[in-house]
Amino acid sequence: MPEPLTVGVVFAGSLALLLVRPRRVPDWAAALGGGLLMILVGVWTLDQALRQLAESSDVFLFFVGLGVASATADRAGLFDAAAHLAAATARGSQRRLLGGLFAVSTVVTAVLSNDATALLLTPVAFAAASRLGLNPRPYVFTCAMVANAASFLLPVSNPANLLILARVPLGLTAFTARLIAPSLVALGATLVGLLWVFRNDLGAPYEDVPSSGPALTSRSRASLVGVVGLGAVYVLAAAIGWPLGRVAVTGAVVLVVLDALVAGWEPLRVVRDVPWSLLGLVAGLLLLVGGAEQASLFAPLVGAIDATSAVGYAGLPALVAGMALMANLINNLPSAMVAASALSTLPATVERGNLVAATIIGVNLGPNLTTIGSLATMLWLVLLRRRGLQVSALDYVRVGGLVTVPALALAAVVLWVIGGLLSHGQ
Amino acid sequence: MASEVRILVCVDGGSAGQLLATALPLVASSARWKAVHVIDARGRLDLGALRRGIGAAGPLPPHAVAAIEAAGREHASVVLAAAEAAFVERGLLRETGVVRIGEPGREICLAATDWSADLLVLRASRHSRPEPGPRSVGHTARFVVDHAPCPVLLIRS
Repeated sequence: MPEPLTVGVVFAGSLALLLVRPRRVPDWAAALGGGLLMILVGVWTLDQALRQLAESSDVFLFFVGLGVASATADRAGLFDAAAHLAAATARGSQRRLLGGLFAVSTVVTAVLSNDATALLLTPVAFAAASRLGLNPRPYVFTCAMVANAASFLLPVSNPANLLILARVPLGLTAFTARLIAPSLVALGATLVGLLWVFRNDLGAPYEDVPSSGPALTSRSRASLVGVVGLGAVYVLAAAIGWPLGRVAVTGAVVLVVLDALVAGWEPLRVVRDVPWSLLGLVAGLLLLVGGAEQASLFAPLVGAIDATSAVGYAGLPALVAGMALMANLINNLPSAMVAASALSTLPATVERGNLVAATIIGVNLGPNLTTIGSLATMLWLVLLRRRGLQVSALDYVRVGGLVTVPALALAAVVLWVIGGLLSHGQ
Repeated sequence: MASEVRILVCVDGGSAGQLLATALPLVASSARWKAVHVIDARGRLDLGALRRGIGAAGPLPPHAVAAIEAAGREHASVVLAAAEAAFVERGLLRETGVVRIGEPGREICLAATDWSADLLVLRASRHSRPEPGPRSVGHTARFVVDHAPCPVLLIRS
């Protein structure tokens, strides 16, 4: 086993490279490179590394299933149809349009996870707003922020949840009991915050042009059936403890087959829909975080969480805040893995349920503080501005702060109350 | 006719009729009119920034870029058709409207330079009822007032 200092340098260096991405080094390459370096410096033997990755096979399957399912739904026009529905029900009111997109984003996030909303629904919302001649920003921010705020409605609503639950399991009942109320409160606060922050933009009515956009086609209808079915099976699978990765892949297969029956078979497209670079990123991060864990680099964090739990359930809001800050500093997937590692190495006597819930809230909702998920993106925006492009990182922080601080605080307080009730009930 | 007054009208919502109603009584009847609409490309930066914060997201896929551009052009054609109709209705000497893509203030000034416009007409703000004070003139109008190659007529909504 090498010196903890060596491991620390590899871990911190890779993470910094991953966030700053100089010379357009993609983040997955930085993570994977760091993971390989962990093998080279002797933290892992090749055999151990492969075993470590194999242990997380369900997480990889989940990413594959999710990526293919949401890309298929996107191509089938399901998101276009949803945005079309939101625009049709808005009838000239921007507030209603934002509310409609908010609802669509919540449902898409719950079933297809945050990345589907942030990556696939957002451009669709952007196009829908542009078609109506509206400033797209409120709608882009709505999709982006709901992607995070709706991330703890279900375990499948954010892969970060799975990464945490893989290390510190929490049954669906325990998950829902602790997280459904904070989730709804966070969503409500986010909606109110968005309506308030963008009140000037949203106040202007718009001319409701008859849309030439897409309505529900037979292809998107098939996809809708698939996605609704997938959502139901997820809940069932989480309730009886089936591995969710396999469920996700099965759901993706069903969606692809349904789509192929309506629109024709495109096997190459399916291969391209697999989020290969994301798999590389996750594999690299697993080796990096696992290596740092072996070198006990997270001991201070474990100590801090242990101390928080010693305070009782009143410490939960502090844990939420700490995790939210970490998610903004090093992004949500690395934070989820680091937090999962720390939680799983807590002394066996510590009751983990509430701590897991607080971690999930912080890691999922926290990225909204900067609107777009990390300090690294802020730095990149500052760089863009220096090159003369009209973006303001401060704008993002302002919107993120105004919307998210109340959402985080309310969710944390609700969890604190629930944590108290649950521990009194025992 | 080199002495002809060239007036460039910047249109964004169904605003052409309203702009003309205010501007027309003020200017020479021999003017030549043209509409310009700018598709604001700045919002695309929001999408880029958002994707950068998400693990392994990469750039916006081509089909999403195409859909966004098509949506912008669809709106542009509606707006320019409304401007055209407003010109025709008043029997004005006119040229075909143009669509530009980019930062609105900068593009409006470039359009005015390209066409050697003698006067620019645009709304002071996107908001229908801006409160009096510094915010009653929007970013775009302020940029145009500062950088336009010709006089600017700002119309309060």
